Amino acid sequence: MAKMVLKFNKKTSIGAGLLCLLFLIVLFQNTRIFNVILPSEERVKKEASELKKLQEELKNELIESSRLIRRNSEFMARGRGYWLQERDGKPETEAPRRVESAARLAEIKLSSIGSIRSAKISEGIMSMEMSITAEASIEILSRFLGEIYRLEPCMRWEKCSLAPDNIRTPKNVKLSGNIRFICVNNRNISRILSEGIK
Amino acid sequence: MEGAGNSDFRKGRKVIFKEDRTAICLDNSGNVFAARVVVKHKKALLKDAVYLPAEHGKNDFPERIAKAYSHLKAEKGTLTAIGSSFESAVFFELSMPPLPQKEMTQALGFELSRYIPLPMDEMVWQYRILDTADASGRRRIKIFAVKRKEWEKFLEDLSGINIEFDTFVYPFMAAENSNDLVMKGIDVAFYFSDGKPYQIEAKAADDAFNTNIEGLEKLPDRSGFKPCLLTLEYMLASAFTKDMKTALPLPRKFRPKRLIALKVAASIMAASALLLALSYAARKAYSISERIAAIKMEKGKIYRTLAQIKAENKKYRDTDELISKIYEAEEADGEVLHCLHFLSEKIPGSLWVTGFNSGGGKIDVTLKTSNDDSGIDTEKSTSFLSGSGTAYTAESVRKRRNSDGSEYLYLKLARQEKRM
Repeated sequence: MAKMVLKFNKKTSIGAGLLCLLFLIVLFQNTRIFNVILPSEERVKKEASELKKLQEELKNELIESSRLIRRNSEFMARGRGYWLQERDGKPETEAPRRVESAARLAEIKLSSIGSIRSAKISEGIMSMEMSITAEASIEILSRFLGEIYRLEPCMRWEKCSLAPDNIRTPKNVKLSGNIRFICVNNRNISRILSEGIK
Repeated sequence: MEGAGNSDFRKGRKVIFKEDRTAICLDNSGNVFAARVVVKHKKALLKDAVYLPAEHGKNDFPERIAKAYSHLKAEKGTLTAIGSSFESAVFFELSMPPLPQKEMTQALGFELSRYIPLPMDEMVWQYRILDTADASGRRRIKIFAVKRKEWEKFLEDLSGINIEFDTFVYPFMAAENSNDLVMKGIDVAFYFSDGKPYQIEAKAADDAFNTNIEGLEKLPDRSGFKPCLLTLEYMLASAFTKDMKTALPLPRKFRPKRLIALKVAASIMAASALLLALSYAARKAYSISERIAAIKMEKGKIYRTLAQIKAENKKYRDTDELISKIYEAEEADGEVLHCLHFLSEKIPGSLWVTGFNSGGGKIDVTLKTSNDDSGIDTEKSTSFLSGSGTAYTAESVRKRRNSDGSEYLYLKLARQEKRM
């Protein structure tokens, strides 16, 4: 039958064959297999666009990385600013002792020194506070403030009030305030801060 | 004889043929008549003719055909036809409704068995559709059939000589009105040879035979050349090339190899073009593949670097959150010493601090003047808090005058730069 068709419709058969071949080529061109075997410019563009996106992502990550490293370095540089229990001892006993030591150096007698109060900032990071009152001349008080400022780890005045003991005839200055410091027990932060000190 | 020729020989000729036409005819006695015409200035001119009679008892017609062909010096590409009489030849005319060639061939295949009293698979046949139609629109069809064995024997005899020809033309088929020409007085619709075949030269030996071919005076025997001239006339007609499609098929070896150089050149060009196209496609595909491979390699590198950086950033980010929380907690701390230092440097000599409170990132400062009646120029007194280089700014300034003439200035200060 096929032989007969070919014999009588030779030209039609050739034409139909060519059309089928063209159709198959077009079909083949639009399949993924063709794209794998003979990649097109479209694929290059697609790959290049993906590469550009990746480069952009890498650029952003590098920016973020440098920001994080800078922050980390800055933080590391402040290693002595924070109370590390393993380095500085128990803050409940050690912190008042250091304040008193500073007072002795400034030759001021503290009226009172409160007990340590702590507030959690994050896991292993505490904000610790103690209240202090004193009365002295402005020179001595300035010296005391200087000694507190020089303390390591850093102790900051969370609240500080300075007022003359007498408005009309002032002799001394009354000081009352809360000293605060950050105590770090977090292993990661401790490690960073320790590295910064080294 | 009126209408015997084909007068429209200039119409629709195929340009692939040279202007020459060669016809070689063999009569029933084995005599060979061959002639060549050349078309010049729209006129067909007999160029040459040759008559090679058969020798008694010798069946050497192929050699004589070859000799005649050689004698005529027909150039390659000249349209050549061979005609012959056959013992088993059947020639007749039918009328058929107008049909396309393919359908006509099929229809005639069925129709002929009604006219030919022999099994059709033993016969080979050809037909010619004449341009004229009858009153009902039916077309006149000339049929020529011959026994397959006789036809194959004829071709086999010819295969011994080196001759190329385009088609076989049975001389009766050549004339438009050949029925009138050769079948005068025949009562039946067809004639089948029973040992006494018709001879065209015998029946058509008519002085009234008209032809457009000039130079016939060169012919050695005009009546014997009639089939040959008739064939040439037919070959010059526009219908001839069309009719070649329905002629008896010839083996490939007989068919002239025309335009060989052109065909070879075209094939080489096509092959070269294909090769070039393929090499171009291959080069392009290779180049694209290379580029894709390079991009993929770069992507791979970036992926690896990204993964490393992301892992590192994640580690840093975890601690960064804690660092941010620590900084936030520190933010509220007042820098007392710094502020006192600032105030001691900036406050004018006419003012002194009577109160200092820091907390929650804000600092309240109370300043007092000496007791005179001049009053405080607030703007002048707090000018140290304005300007670009100052560390603190006054968020609010309030003043109160005392009964002794002194005045109080209540300042609420805020640190300008904050820790990042």
